[in-house]
Amino acid sequence: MDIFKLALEKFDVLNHTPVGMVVINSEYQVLFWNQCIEYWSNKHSNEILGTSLLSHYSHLNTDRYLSRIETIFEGGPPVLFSTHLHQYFIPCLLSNGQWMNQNTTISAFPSFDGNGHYALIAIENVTELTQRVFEYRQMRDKALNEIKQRELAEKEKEKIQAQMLRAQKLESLSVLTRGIAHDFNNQLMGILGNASILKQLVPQDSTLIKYVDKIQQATLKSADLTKQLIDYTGKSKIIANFLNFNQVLKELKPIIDSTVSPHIIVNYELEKELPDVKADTAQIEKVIMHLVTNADEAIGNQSGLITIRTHAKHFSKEELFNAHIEMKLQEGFFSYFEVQDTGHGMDDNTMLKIFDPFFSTRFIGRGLGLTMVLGIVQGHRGTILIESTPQKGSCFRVLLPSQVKKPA
Amino acid sequence: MELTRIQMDALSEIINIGVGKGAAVLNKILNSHIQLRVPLVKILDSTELINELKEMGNDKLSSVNLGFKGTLYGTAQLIFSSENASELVATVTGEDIHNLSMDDISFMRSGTLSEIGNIVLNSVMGTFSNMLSLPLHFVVPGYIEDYASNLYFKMVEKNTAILLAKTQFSVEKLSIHGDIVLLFEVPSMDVLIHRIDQYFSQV
Ligand SMILES: Nc1ncnc2c1ncn2[C@@H]1O[C@H](COP(=O)(O)OP(=O)(O)OP(=O)(O)O)[C@@H](O)[C@H]1O
Ligand SMILES: [Mg+2]
Repeated sequence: MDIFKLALEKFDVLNHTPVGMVVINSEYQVLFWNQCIEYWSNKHSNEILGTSLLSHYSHLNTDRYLSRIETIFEGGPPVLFSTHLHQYFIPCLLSNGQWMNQNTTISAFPSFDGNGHYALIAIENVTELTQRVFEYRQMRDKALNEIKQRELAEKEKEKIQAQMLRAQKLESLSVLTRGIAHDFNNQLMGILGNASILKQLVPQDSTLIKYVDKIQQATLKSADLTKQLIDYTGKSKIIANFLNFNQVLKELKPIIDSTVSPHIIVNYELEKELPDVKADTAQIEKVIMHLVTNADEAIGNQSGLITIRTHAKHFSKEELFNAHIEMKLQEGFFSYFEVQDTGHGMDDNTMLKIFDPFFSTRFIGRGLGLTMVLGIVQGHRGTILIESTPQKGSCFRVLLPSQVKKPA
Repeated sequence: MELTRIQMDALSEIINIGVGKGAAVLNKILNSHIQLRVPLVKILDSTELINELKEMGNDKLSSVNLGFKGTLYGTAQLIFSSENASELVATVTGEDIHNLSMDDISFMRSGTLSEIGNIVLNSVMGTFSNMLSLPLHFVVPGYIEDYASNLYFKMVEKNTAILLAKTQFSVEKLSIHGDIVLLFEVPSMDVLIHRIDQYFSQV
């Protein structure tokens, strides 16, 4: 009798189970292909009986399958393939376009002629169970994601509050400083007036004259200082015109190069097509010079590198949000210049205070430089982004809104 | 029923070779070196077996078992603590199993561990039956999660003497360890001893 007929007879009962059942011999020739697997795989038994299973399903023709199936033909213990490690044994497309998940058990069945064994392959559809695990996983991921979003929003809120607090503190410090400076200046004017009267009353050849001169000189110096205080902390008037950072930098270059210590190299990386900004040239020059001075001081006596860059790009809300001072800026196109140094850098704690009037970590610093810089940049509706790593260096980036020239 | 020192050694050697083959496959799946201890071979009566089980602790265990009959009766088992089992499944499938529901965990576990257990136990038993020329019939492997005492309840109940061969293995990178246990019922022991002697005379 024909071996396939014999197989059909012997295994007919397997046509009535909801499990995919396949029998192959040690040549991988398919001897039996039950109705269930016929339906799942959409492959009729006529097509596959007598042919090699491997010729239909080439993924099985790999060591990870063959080495284990081989033992079956010698009567070895059953072999399992779990859907978690191999999604399917025989690929079967489901109506929703996905592959069926299968758990497969292969066991040895004595061959008809008594020589060796056949492999009896039982394939279970476990898609629904697997799907449940999958859905659960998606649910879990979604929940985790929501929690993360909430945490982010919370952090953002905290950051805004901290920025507002710092801005308020700066504002009140500036008001206080300016107020004191004004009053102080008035008193100085009084001293100065009285000193000049004194100078007229004292005989010209008197030894007292030189003391009066000293009073006058010291008073003038003090007046100068208070004037600076007023300038730095106040919003001085801006005379704005279209200007290009590149142009300003080119003109400043000789001054910058002579200011910076000889052991420091200054590099210029200027963007060719840089949009103009609307700004007060003298004030922008002050900002640049001050940032360069700070960079120079941060590098100190070692050799180092200062890089001055210009560029323009769109800044998103998130990027602007990283500014240390709240400026309430809309996202948009900004032209910027930045001064990067290879100096000592700053830790986070220092970074929070650098704009405070009189905050300085330098022995001879007055701590007014960055206060002035900030006042000017705020007056121009721009912002400052800072990056700094202790022992590595800092980068101060000054952004002003790009001006698109109206087409003529 | 007594086994001589030499018979015991031969048995541990055979088990060691089989487990070594299983470990090599496991090594490939997990991509981590597997360390094996020298197997322990003992003959126990049911009270001793209970004591042995007590040593395995009160924790829930995950066990893949492969029953066999023929010239020998018994089961081969791969046993992990539930924690180690989860860890192993998580490693093999890349799933964070700790967050799955109980039902789904046991589905994942039973699927994955059954296959891992299947690979290891087939190597052990395949070697065993080949080397001792003992043709065996194998039952379709099963997966159980239960307490140690329940896992062996049937054996204890039968009140037959039992040959226990046990070896510990650990997966170096993952600090996962488990036991491979072979339990033979003693009525079939004569055959086993005979075959061991034959094996021994060959070497
Ligand atoms: N490029 C930089 N690298 C590292 N730290 C800096 C840099 N620029 C400023 N700082 C820090 O910020 C502080 C405040 O700077 P700011 O320019 O306001 O004051 P100052 O430079 O100390 O004194 P001055 O009033 O003379 O400028 C500095 O003391 C320093 O700690
Ligand atoms: Mg300074």
